[in-house]
Amino acid sequence: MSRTSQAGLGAHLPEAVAYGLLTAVGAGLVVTSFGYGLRTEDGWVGPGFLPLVIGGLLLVLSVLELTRCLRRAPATEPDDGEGTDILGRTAAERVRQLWTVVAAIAVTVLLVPVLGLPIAFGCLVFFISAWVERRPVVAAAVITGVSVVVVHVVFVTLLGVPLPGGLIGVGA
Amino acid sequence: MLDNLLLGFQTALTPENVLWCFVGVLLGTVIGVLPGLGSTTGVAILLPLTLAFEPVTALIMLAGIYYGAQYGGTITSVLISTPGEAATVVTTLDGYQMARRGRAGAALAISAIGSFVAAIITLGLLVALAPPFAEFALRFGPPEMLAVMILGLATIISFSGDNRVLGLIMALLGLGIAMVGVDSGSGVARYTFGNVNLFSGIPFVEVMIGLFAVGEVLYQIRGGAAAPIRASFRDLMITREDLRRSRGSILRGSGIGFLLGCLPGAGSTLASFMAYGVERRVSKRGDEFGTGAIEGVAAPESANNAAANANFVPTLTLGIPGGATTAVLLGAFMIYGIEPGPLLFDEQPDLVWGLLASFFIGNVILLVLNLPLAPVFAQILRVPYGYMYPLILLTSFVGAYSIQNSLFSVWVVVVFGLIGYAMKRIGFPMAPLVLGLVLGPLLEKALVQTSAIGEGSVLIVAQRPVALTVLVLAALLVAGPPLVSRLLTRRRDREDLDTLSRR
Repeated sequence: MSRTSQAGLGAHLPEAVAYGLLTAVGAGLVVTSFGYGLRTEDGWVGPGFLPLVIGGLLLVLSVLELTRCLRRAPATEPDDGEGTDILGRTAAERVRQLWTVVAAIAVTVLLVPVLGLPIAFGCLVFFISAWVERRPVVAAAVITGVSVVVVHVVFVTLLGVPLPGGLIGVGA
Repeated sequence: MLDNLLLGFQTALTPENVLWCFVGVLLGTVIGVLPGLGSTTGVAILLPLTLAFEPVTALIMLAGIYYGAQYGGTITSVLISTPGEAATVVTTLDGYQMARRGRAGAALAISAIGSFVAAIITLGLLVALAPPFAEFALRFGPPEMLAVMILGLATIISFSGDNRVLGLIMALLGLGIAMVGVDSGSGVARYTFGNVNLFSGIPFVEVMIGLFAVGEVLYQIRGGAAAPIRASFRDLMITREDLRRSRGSILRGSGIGFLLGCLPGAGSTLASFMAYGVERRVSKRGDEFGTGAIEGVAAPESANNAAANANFVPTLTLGIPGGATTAVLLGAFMIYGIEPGPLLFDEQPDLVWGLLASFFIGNVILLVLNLPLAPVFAQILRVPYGYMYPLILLTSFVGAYSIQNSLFSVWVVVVFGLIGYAMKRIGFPMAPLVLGLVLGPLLEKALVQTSAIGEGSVLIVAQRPVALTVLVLAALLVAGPPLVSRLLTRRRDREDLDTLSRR
């Protein structure tokens, strides 16, 4: 592979990976569709028919786009906010921040059966406000408290949604 | 006809009915603002509150909730790119871009005005044409519905700008996701991997919250804090130029919305997508779509409101719900002992015409309430995003949970939030995916029924004049523009060659 094409692939790598995944999804749909049956006993359209058509089209179009993407002229990295933002955070810091929030969301959902939904997501709001966004602890606590109360009033009291209370039992 | 309408206004304009209509619109707007709680959930949740009322009062309030919730969904679509329901997904494309450019007030105002005008036009059409339209809709069998679904998918190419293939790929992905769950025709569980939660399919409201709300939050975090949008009050107001630009879009959107809304099952979502697609084609500013064109807000907002009204055509005249919300309303009719059908207009004229007149009153209330409030709602964008996004996450996840009272919904939001983030980073369009997901089950149902009618062959579609016409329209939509542009290029090349040879 030449230097130029390597550079091009680097810039288009996420797109190429996405098309690769879509190709795999298309292929998966095609392969599995036969198992579901393309026709029913009456000769009508069976449960595998539409997955076959969708998968086939997805496979062909994704391969075409993947090929086009790999052959495309080398591109420079997109300049979508790679510098510092108005709070002086660098791109690397923002990536770290992003994955911290994603991990915090996953942990929060896992904690719902223990803490209950309002408390668990209240903790998420406090964590993001105080730790990720570095707001003053008091301000973060006030925002968290008010938002949890509002959620409880709107969803539980007014709309009658039974939010899980977890082992603590708050929210149900 | 006029006597009936007067009777309707007499019924609807009692102080009690106007008051409950107002309460319905207000509650609906509040519910619509909450992610995940669209008009269907709003009407279902608040239905028990109306049991103590007279049937006509109860239905007027429920209709108010319906409109209010739709507009509430528009508010969040425009301000924070979080559509309340599938019908307002398209509004995020240009509405959110307008908000980012300090024009949220104008976007919200044109939504309210467009919805109001659409309501007035469709009310007139409802009054005049409900019975013949219902008869026409009855002629729409599975082959015709299949053709309409294909036409809906064909409009997808309009969303994808230069890369139409990418739009098609995203729609196919949406259709593929819609294949998960128990197949309605055969009862076979597909792609569920033994997980009971997947038996009823991947829920599209949760997918929408994930893709749009959480995906946007993650994208903004990665992009970095931007200065809060501090538009001047003048920029937030709608201008005469905005109104001039939106005039045609509102009329076209209303027409498309009414036609599609009359068809049982086609619904507001398809109407809003088609109106946007058509508008992008016919507008002189088609290339501005997706960057904050006001026509891109006016057309789909008019269309989804017109479709919401037209949904009542099959509901009232045939007893067949036009969409999910009218299905819940049909349940309300049953609770109140009312039997919708061809005889309803004759047997209970005060109720039917009172309800129809309340659509007008409800939309007037919606306009009066929201037009002055649009710039006020837009002030939310002054709040720094660092304060706002934890709250967006909170309401998104709690809203998603409340749809099925299940943590599975919350996980769906997490997964599709990450997918939405990746799609935004790469530049893949999300709207075609949502349309594919919404149309998937409808398309498959129509396909299976068509094959049953055709004794195994779906080619019966080509033998039905209406279906064939719709299919030809879809083919023109897909193949027309590239063919025309190729012909024009060839002609230009030939002219250039002629000019050169003459020299």
